[in-house]
Amino acid sequence: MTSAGSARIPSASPNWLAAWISRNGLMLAIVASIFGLWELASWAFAVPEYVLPKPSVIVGTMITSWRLLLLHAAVTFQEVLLGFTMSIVIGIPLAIAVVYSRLFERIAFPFMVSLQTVPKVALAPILVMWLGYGIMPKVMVAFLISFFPIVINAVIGMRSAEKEMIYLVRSMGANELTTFIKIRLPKALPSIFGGLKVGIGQAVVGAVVGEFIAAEYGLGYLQLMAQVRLDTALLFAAVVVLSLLGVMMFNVVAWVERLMLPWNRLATGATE
Amino acid sequence: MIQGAGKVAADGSPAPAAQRGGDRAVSVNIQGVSKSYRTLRGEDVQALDTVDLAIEPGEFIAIVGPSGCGKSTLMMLVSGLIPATTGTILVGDTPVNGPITSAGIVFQRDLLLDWRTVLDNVLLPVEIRKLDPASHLQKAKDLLASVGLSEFEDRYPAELSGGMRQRVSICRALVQDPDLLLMDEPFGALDALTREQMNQDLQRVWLRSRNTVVFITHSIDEAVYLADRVIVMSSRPGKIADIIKVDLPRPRRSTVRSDKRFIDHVEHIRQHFMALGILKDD
Ligand SMILES: Nc1ncnc2c1ncn2[C@@H]1O[C@H](COP(=O)(O)OP(=O)(O)OP(=O)(O)O)[C@@H](O)[C@H]1O
Ligand SMILES: [Mg+2]
Repeated sequence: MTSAGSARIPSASPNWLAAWISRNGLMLAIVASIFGLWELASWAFAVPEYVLPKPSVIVGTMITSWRLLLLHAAVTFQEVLLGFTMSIVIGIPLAIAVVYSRLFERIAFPFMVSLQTVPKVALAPILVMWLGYGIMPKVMVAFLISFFPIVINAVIGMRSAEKEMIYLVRSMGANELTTFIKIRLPKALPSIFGGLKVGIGQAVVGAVVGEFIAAEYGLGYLQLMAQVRLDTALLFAAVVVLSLLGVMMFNVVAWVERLMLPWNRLATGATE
Repeated sequence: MIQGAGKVAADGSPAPAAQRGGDRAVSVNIQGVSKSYRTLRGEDVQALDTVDLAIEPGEFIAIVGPSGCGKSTLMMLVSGLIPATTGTILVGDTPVNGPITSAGIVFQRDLLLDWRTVLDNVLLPVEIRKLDPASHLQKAKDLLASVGLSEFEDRYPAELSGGMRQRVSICRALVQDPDLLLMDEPFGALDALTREQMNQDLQRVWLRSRNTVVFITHSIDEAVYLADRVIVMSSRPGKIADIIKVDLPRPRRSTVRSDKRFIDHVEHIRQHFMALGILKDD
């Protein structure tokens, strides 16, 4: 192998920390300066704690109330994960059905599209009425919200294989199943992951909205409680934890994508 | 470039005239075949006028003709991937009624799969046809070596140049020892030098396998160099304007291009294109 060959493999040297900082440094600096300004301004203009707590106070609350935050975060995480998994387990096979069956394409697909225009948030109270106060209604809202982007992207992806590429494997004697496994599915994966990345964010929104309606646990519920008690610092701490949860779950999806589709960064010119 | 395994007759010694066609080479019979496409606007466009052509087992046929005259269409018809509007095609004794699987095809576009490495792309037909993986792995590696791509076995297609990609797609068509090789402008993306080299390499590989080849090209020179017979097609709707038999001895060296007979053949075909109004002098 030539030097160009080895350059593709990320180096495992101890410099990874330096590399990480050089890649994310700018973003870190921006975030740090926003919080710095915020801190300074709250202090300079003497903004009351119950209107806008200082970042230092929010962090303090996060440290002192970490058990509480973790308990509720775990519930929200569970709801998001279940709803999102449901979207994948139901959405991908449905996408396959839409691609392969005229009936599904003509009936199920328009139905799904029109359902998409119904605000899922408005369904949440009904779901609570049906499913009670447990995690199920939240899982359902998370599922309903994240389902559509996953299906539509999977359908678009599986339809993106060129006619000639299908011809190619047909001339090798491939049947429809082989064509699906060797061409349509791998060809669709970048698009499917696009849908998953949108979907995971939507699932977080869905779960929290569900918790706003009626809940006994979860970060959305914690926010409501904090609001009632005028504990603004806890309210903000819950927002921070929620954001961290969302970012973490998004990054897991992105990481799986990079792992599964190393070629995609090359093919789409996403490499530096 | 192609120095693959196998016994190559020392360059210069003429191929035994009687030995036409490898053991499995097939004949191709095109009888009264025409093709119309239905466009999106609902009109019928005739791409190919009636074509009759009999190709012997082990024959090397080159097809030249202006852009859009239906060369690719004819190839797709022979491969059974699209149905003919009229007429029948026989590959061997079997009428073509759907995709035939005995052919190795090099499409006009390389059609490499982005998600597979170069080696895995070449092995695609082996996987799909469920051929013996071990022996074909070596075959694939030899083929890649013969086109100078050994170093790139583990690369992804996005890391290759256009010419390299097309060479990979040629290896993919050859890995299964096809009875019939259909090639649609395989060297169109190559520079003139590499192209001449590839012509020589293809001839050497073919002299060993002696399968039936249908080779589409825009280059008159390339057609005459490679083919036993050159089919000249007229503009759309395409039909056969002339068939030129090239009986230059094989293996042909690159110096054959300055041979009087070679030049005459090229000139003859050029005259055709002038008469058809495709080539014009100012
Ligand atoms: N799927 C299609 N639908 C409609 N028309 C088509 C289709 N494919 C090809 N054609 C038309 O048929 C004609 C012949 O096309 P074809 O691709 O066979 O030409 P060609 O000789 O291979 O040209 P080139 O040398 O440029 O590759 C063209 O006029 C083209 O517009
Ligand atoms: Mg063509």
